[in-house]
Amino acid sequence: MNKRAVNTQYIFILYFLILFISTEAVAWGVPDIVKKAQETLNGTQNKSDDNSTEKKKEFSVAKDATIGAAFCGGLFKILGKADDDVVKAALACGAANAAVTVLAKQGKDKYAKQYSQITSDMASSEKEINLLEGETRSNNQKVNTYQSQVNNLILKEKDDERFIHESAGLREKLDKQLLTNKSARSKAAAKLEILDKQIAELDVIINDSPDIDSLQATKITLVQQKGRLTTSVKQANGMNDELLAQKSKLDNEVIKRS
Amino acid sequence: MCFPTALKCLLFFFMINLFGCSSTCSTDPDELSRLCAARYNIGANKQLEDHLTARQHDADDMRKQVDLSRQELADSKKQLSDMSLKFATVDAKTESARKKARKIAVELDLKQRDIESKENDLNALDQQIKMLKGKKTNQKETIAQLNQAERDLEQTKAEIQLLNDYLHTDLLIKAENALAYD
Repeated sequence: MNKRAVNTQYIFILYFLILFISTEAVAWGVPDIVKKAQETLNGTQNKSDDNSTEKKKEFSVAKDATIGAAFCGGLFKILGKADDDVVKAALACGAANAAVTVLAKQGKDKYAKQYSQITSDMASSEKEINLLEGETRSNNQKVNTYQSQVNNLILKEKDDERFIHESAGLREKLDKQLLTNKSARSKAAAKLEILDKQIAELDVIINDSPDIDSLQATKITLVQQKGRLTTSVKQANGMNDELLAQKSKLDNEVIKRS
Repeated sequence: MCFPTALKCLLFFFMINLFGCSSTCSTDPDELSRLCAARYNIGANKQLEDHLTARQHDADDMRKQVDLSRQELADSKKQLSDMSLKFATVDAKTESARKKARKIAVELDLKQRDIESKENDLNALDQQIKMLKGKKTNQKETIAQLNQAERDLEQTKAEIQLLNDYLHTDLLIKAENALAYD
């Protein structure tokens, strides 16, 4: 065998070796995920078995969800997450993937794409909402601090000139905080608009395929996220009103003492 | 053929493999690879792209509105500043007249600061609209943020209107009267 032929053989061996390793990496940890996912989904399976019309269905969401969960679970495990979380996340991910597959199998490509996009956006939305909630909490604390600072200044500072001087600085801080609050509220309101559209899109998909349970589960998650954002927007509005009230209180006192 | 050449060949095989996946994935629902689905979605939503382009054109109109509001604020600020200068020369004869003039002067000063605060609001909005106008990625989010910027602009305009109404129908008239009776 000449040198070139040997090298070609090496290439093929290396190529198949890498393919084999990649496949093994994904398959690693899959069997127990399949088992746990099947146990969890047993209820869903039994429920659909009881229904005679469901039996006739060509595609099984529960079966696809198990396969999806195994795939997602394998990936989560490779990423090093804890076991309980793995099954929970894998089931959610698997059910969503399964619903996408079922919709596509039923020829509803548009809905499959829309739903796939909605579920992939959900994780990033969750992160954003957590950040916004943190921002709202921090703003709330600052507003409370400013509120007590205004009250203390009005009640305790008896020297008018010093009062006027200090109130100018505090007024500036109130203005800056108002701008920060407005920015946080705008971010939450823009995200709320996206969620509203996603819920409306999902409603259309649910009306078309009411038999797919994971669609409902996704809607519940979206509605919960919407609720949290609505709370953030309301709190930001409340804080802005409070800041304006403090500003007006300070101004009245400044005019009174001038 | 040495080892680096072998690596190059391997890379070539992988590229062929990836290309094969991405070029045949659009119609098969049993397709395992999520990469294929992702590729299908990227740039596929033409309607959303058109909507974003239209919204980006609206952004220019929004920025013009911001400029108009800025001009309104600048005019009001100038009027307040002129009035403040007049008050600085007031030499009221009675203590009560002096006190009244002082209170009006303080309020003129506070309202000038309110105008500056509204100018900051407009500047922040203008920057945001400018940034969103140039944004090409994540159309859905950019559209929602541009919609929100428009709502924020409407609210800021309403707040400026309220402030201007107070200045022109109350404070400046009060100030003119105080000067006239000095």
